[in-house]
Amino acid sequence: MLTLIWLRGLLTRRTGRLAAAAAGVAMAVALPAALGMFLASAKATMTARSVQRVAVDWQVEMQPGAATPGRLPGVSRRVDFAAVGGFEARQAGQTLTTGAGQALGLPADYTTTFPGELRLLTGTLAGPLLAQQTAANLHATPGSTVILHRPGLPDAQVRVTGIVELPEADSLFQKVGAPATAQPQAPPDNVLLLPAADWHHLFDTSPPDKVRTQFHVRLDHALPPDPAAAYTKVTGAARNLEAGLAGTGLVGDNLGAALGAAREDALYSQLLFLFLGVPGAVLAILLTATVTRSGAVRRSAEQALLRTRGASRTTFLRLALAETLAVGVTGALSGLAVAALTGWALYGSPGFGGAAGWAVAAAALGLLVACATVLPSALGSATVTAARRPVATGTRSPAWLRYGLDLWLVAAALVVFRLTSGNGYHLVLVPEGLPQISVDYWAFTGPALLWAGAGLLIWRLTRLLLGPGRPIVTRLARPLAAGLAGTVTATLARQRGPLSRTMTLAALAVAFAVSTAVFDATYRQQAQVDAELTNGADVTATQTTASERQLAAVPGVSRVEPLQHGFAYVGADLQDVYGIRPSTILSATHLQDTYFPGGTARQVVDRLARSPDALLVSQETVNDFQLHLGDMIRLRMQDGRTVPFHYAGIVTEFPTAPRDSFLVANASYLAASDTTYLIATDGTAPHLVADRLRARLGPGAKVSDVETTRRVVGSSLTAVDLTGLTAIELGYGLALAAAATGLLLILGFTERRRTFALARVLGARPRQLGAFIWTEVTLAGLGAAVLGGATGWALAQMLVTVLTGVFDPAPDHLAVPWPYLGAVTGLGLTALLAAGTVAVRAASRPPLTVLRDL
Amino acid sequence: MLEAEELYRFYRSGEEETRALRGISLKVAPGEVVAISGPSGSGKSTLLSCVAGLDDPDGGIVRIAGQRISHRPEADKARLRARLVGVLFQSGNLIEHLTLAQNVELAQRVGGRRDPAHRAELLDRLGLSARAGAWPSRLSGGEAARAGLAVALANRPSLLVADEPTGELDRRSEGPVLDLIRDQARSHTAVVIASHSPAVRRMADRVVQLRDGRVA
Amino acid sequence: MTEVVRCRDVARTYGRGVEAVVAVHGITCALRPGDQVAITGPSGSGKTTLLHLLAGLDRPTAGTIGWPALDDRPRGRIGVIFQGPSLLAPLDAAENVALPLVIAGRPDGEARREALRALNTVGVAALAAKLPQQLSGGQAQRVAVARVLAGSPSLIIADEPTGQLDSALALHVVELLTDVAGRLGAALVVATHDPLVAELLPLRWEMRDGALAC
Ligand SMILES: Nc1ncnc2c1ncn2[C@@H]1O[C@H](COP(=O)(O)OP(=O)(O)OP(=O)(O)O)[C@@H](O)[C@H]1O
Ligand SMILES: Nc1ncnc2c1ncn2[C@@H]1O[C@H](COP(=O)(O)OP(=O)(O)OP(=O)(O)O)[C@@H](O)[C@H]1O
Ligand SMILES: [Mg+2]
Ligand SMILES: [Mg+2]
Repeated sequence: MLTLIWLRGLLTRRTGRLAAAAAGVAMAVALPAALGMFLASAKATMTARSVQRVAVDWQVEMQPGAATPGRLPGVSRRVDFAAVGGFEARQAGQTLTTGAGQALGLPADYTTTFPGELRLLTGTLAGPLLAQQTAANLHATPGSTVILHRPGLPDAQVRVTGIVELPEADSLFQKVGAPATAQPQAPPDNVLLLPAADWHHLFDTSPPDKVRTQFHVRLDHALPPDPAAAYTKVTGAARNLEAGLAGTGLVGDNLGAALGAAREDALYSQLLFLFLGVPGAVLAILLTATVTRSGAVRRSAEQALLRTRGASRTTFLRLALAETLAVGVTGALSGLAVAALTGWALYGSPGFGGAAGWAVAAAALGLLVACATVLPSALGSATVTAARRPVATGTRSPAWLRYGLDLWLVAAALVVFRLTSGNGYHLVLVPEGLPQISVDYWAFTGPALLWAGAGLLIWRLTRLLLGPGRPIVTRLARPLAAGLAGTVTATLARQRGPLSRTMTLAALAVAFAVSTAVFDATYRQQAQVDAELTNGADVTATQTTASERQLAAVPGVSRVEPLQHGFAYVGADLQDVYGIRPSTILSATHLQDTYFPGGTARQVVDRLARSPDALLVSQETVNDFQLHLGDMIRLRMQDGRTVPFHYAGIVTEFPTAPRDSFLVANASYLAASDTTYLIATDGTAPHLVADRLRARLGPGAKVSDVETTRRVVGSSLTAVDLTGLTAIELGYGLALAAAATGLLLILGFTERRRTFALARVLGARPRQLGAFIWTEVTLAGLGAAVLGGATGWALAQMLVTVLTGVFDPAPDHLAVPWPYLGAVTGLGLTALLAAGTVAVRAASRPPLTVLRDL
Repeated sequence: MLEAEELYRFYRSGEEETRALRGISLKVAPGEVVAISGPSGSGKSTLLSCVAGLDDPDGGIVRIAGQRISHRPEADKARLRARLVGVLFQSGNLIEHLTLAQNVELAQRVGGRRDPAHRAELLDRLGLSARAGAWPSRLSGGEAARAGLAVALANRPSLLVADEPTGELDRRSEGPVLDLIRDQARSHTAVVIASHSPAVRRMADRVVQLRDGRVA
Repeated sequence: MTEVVRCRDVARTYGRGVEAVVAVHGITCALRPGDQVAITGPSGSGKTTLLHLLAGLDRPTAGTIGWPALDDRPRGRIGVIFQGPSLLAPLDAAENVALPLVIAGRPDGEARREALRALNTVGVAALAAKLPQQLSGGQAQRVAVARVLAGSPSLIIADEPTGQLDSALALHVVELLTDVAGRLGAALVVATHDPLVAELLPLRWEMRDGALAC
């Protein structure tokens, strides 16, 4: 009853204030809820994508002579394999032969059951099908007759009806049951696919060691959305089946492998969520706390009155909580609505997309924090007389300030940062053979400590500025406040508690926006670099006989750079070797300095240009052979030549090169046979140029472009699609910055309506009231921009360094997203201007309405 | 009812020290009306705050109905006040977002009582019945002062501590207010009033004159 | 001589409909420079409302009010002492007193000197550095009086300036006000319920139920 009277009064007389506070809470709830939604949806997408990418979920390989397994889960089809000694075709009197290969027997509906396994290039699927490479070797077309050399049996003939591509050849011909550490087996060069009946007709009498049988399984895809859970389920089922087969069969778990990779990606995205999202959520919570606290003076005076009347602690706690809950519940519900709308905007369906738990947790947390902020004043032990004073006069600064906690935190952040950013440090560990991946959460301590330390430090600085730094503020205020500068700073200094809180929060909001944006931009830059590294250049063409000149003539091509490729033995180790043209390579593709430890890209390339027999090798090779600059290395080439080189530097990454050891040399000296063309475009979209090249070069040539590559680059941090996360982060970063500046200032001004009204009674013109308001606005804005900007930059630097291990390759420099930073500045300025304008207008109202309505 | 012994209260701000109370003792029996008078700044309000347990004296002790109220946890003080003490401040007695009548009701409920008849009687005797539904900010100075008294008396306290209850009142409005206080004293309430008004001094059983924080 | 303020048939009604309160009505009056008026009347009779109208802080709901001697621009040239607290909480006593001067464009140092002088006149010079929350009721009221004295206004409006003061001090403060008003040639209006205070002023207006009964 008491509570009801109280609440009703508040709602009718303090509507605006309560609404503003509710808006703050809404923000604090919406951000974590939206992030949770992102995380849940990102994980679900990863699971779905990996499921989609896998052509055959399980390949169950039966031991020779084993009986057909009784029951397999899902849909299964029998696939038979037979070794073939070679293929032969006669074309226009010429006989073409190939090496050994495999002949597969597939049931008629195989292609419809497992559509991802093969792709028809020409002809029909109705009869025997040749793999593309084999068809090219035999110059075979649909209708051609191919001769099979059957081991232990006479040759046989089939008429080919179609040519197919086997996109999943690697997994199709995997050695089922091989340990995970084994080198992956290369798929056979020559493959013939036969209808099951034909296969049995041809190979049933083959020696048993030349044939084997697999059952291909498509599982029920109703999997848990979380990749880790899905992984556990699928691998568990596979083990279960193997146990059931009691040694008569082994499971090649393609789906499990894909989910395993997805699980790693999911962990990365969770890491990013923690690194980027948690500060935002904490900030939003701080905002709630500050917003709820903004009525502290009024609430404290009311509590003093209640206590005078003898109200027990529970009574005014109840009243304070009722007010906070009214604000909190309204805020939390609006926050959830905003989050649901965000979900709708991003994913097209309203609701929480499997993150209802998150949403509820966020709402509960928001409420909890709002309630927790009103507790201290309600539970405080100040006497009634003390609680009735509107201006805090205690000169003692908080204990953490006196003991320099902020400085300790920043120092600790730097130390931890040192430790966690050193060489050989791994954020995510994927132990061999273990189902669990582990993350070194220790790495979070650096940024977390920096956040905390920087926040407190900013607070200290603003307090200093408003305390001992008052003369500086007065001087700053001069241009705005003219004669009133002294008075204005006096009022600011006496309100320095709430004001420094506002400034700190605004600065942190800016820091959040800046660090997130810089990190995100760097991340996207690296995703591009990664794709470029994999693809080599904007567009890459191999296996073509076209000349450099012909390629350059294709519209959209600006530069063409030939890159030779071959293999060479370093000791017993066969490594890729690349031949470059040092004079031109830098203009066709982007070589980052980080690829070449011990020099910039230009220096290293110049070294190659100067000495024709220079050779760049991997760090591993340097270690294995104890190399020193200038040492001679003899390479045995694939064609049998032995060529002497001189060791001239280390290379860690190179366009199109594999991730492990490889060599780089001068093309003119290397004289290898295969040439890859790295093609830079003139700004035309790479996939368009690639299409033109494909049309120009015919089906034999392989053309790939960077855009497509970016979408398929394998498992690494940069493969996690950050769009959703960054959209949420950047959006809320903007909103937080605007709220922290605008909303808090407005609430602060509302607290001071009385001061403004009295000043107006004393003859202050609106312009002079403006002096009070604009000085505060400018101070908050400048503080936020300078302190927040600096903190944001430092944080971005730290984040990128801490996460360097997962950037592949590591970035040369941070990317600065100027448009977004411009937007933050713009919106921040707008919020500040709006807050100032609203406050000036409110302060210019007839003062009596304010004084009598207070 | 009220015993205050050797109260000292010094305010410190920076280097400066204001000695607001310098050893004041005060005893008030039930039903007795004591007027505190003295020049501005002599320590009247400070004395009243200490006596009502709103502020702790730096030295000395305050007992109400035999129980110590000084230097105790706020919760204990509040409990004592709820049972025994009504307070009227020099200004700022009303909660701004509640109407006059709600302010009085709130005081009663906080004290664990519900007494609509008493409420109506108080408002009536103070001439506020017509303004019962008004927000505090819409009251005239005198009305607000009287409303403060209504809130202070809402719980039939055993000790009424009033700071300038008639400062804003003209002679004619002062009469009913003093009558009300007198009636309250008749039902064994001890009353301490800080006031400049000659009428209050005349009505009081005893006048304590303060000067510079001491009894003159 | 031009009047400092002139009211014709002025009324002020608060609220609307059944809840409407007619606080003042039918007020026709004028004040010339040097006029010194005491307004008396029972609590709730409309004194404060009338003073707010005269100070230009509130608009009449009927009738007209003008300040011919001030070119109808009253802001900043009328000194107001409110009933109840009227100091700016974040400023100390001296800054509070100096504020109208600073607003009027006087340099900081000069305004401060004037403020200290005014505080001295009302006997609270020692409290110059204290915040309003550290002042006793009477001290705060005197600081508010000092603020008016320092501002050299053309019209002084004081609403119960002595409510918190003992009679000797009350008389002293009102004498100060009449003195200053006389020296400046300003008009002075004091609302009071203290007959002794009213005695000190040459003119006396009586308010009753929102109307002037003079
Ligand atoms: N904002 C308001 N809304 C409604 N009624 C109001 C408002 N302000 C004042 N009143 C009413 O108008 C009447 C006159 O008020 P006013 O403050 O002018 O009286 P006063 O003569 O100054 O009284 P006092 O001596 O008690 O200060 C009173 O009844 C008061 O309740
Ligand atoms: N919070 C405070 N900090 C510092 N000094 C204070 C504080 N409160 C009161 N004082 C000083 O203590 C002295 C006594 O103040 P108190 O309010 O008790 O006076 P009072 O007798 O009630 O005066 P008045 O009649 O003017 O209300 C005054 O000099 C006052 O300035
Ligand atoms: Mg007092
Ligand atoms: Mg009045």
